[in-house]
Formats: sequence, structure tokens, C-alpha cells
Amino acid sequence: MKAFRWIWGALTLALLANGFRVAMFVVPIDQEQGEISRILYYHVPSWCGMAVFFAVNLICSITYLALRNRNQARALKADALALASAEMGVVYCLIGMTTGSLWGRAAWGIWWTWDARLTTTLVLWLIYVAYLLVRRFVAGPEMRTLAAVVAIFGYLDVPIVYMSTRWWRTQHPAPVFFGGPNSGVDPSMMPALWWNMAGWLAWGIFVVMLRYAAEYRQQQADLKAARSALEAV
Amino acid sequence: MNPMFHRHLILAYAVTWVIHLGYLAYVVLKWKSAGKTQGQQS
Repeated sequence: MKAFRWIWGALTLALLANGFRVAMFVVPIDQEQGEISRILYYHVPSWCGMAVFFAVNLICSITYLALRNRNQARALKADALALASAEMGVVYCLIGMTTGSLWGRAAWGIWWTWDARLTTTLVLWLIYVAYLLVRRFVAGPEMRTLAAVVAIFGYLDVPIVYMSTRWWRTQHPAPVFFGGPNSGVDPSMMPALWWNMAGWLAWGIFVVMLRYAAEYRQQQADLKAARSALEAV
Repeated sequence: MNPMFHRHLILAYAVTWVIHLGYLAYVVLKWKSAGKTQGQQS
């Protein structure tokens, strides 16, 4: 497992290095926006990463709730993965908002606007930060159950964020992908997008593997401490 | 100034790496502290 992790890490760095090369030196610039359009190659993969890891968190939270009274060992593994993927999703969401803000400043002249896309995204980030705070500060055996319920309700905001540019008029551009016949980016830009998507997704998987292993270790240590305390009574 | 070095582009790429590496450092610390707890118990 350890060797696999490091091979995966090396592969990830190679993908990211090539993604950077293609984004900066190979693909042409956007004729309207110029160099600043290259933010797209870090901005869009961040949103894809966020969507993937919040979906993993949802699946793991449901799994935890389904298994917690039947198979505690598997339920704890699902819970550890739920935590790792939620943290990764929050990181991607923060990067998506920050790169978007920098892009907005250069393209529109403003850092932020309260349009539907940006507001629902900020709400989504706050929901998952609240999820992490629940995990950090709620004491007792029901913490994991409560966190799983928060995660399931929190995920309801993900489709709202995705559909916001379709449902409401926003400052944020209309859907670039899957947005109808006039949407999409120029095919010459796609290689940079694919390389960076692959690289950042591989990075997310690498970090989630490490975070999951750390949380699982901690769970085992806590269980052992609880058993020792019971035996001492 | 070379347009390649548009400051918002550099900032966006730099911020992405700083946040990712910062989080990776946090994960490594968590890993080490969990290992230490496990070591103390055995």
C-alpha cells in the first residue's frame, strides 16, 4: 500500500507538471481575455474536484448511517473516508472561489458579487465547514451520526450551485460545459483542461488516501484506548 | 511586461499551490500525531 501511494504521488506530480506545461506554453490564449484566461485550467478542475469529493462524502455518509448498527468496522472506515473527502472538497471549493475571484477582478473589475452562482457556492463552502466543525467540537458517540446527517442535507446545495447559472441570470458566465449548442471552449484549449483535470483529481485522491489512513489510525488508537479503559474498570 | 506574467494569473496558480501544500502539511501532521498516539498505546 505504501509503495502504491508513492507511485501514485509520483504519477500525480508528473500529470500536474505536464498540465502546467500545456496550460502555459502549448495551448493558445483566449482572444478576448488574453493571458488571464489561463486561470481556467486551475479554476475548472477545482470545481470538478469539489463535486467528486463532496459526492464521495455523501456516499460514505449514507454508508455510515446504513452500517453503523450492523458492521461497526466498515461503518468507521466509511466515516474516515467521509471526513477525508469532505476536507478535500472544502479545499477545492476554497481554491475555486479564490481563483474565480482573481479572475473576476481581472475580467470584470470586481473581486466578488452576490450573484446566484457565487452566493450558493459560498453557502456550500460554509455548510461543509460547519460539517467539519461538528466533527471537531461535538462530543460523544452520536457525533458521527450527526455529521453524516449534516453531510446529506449539505449535499442538497451541490445541484443548486450547478444549476444556478441556468436558473438565474448571473454575473458569472453562462454554462461553458453542457450548456447547449453555443456553449463550450475552443477544442484547442481542451488538452490543457484534460491534463489539469487528471492531475488535480489524482492529487485529490493522493491526499485523501493519506488523510483516510491518518484518520483510520486515529480511530484504531481511540478504540484501543476505550477498550483498555473498560478492561481497567 | 511580458503578458505571460499577468499578476492575477500568477497569483491564481500560486494560491492554488499554497492552499494544496498547506493542506498536505496538515494531513502529514495528522498522520504523525495518529502514529504517535498508536505508538504510546502499544
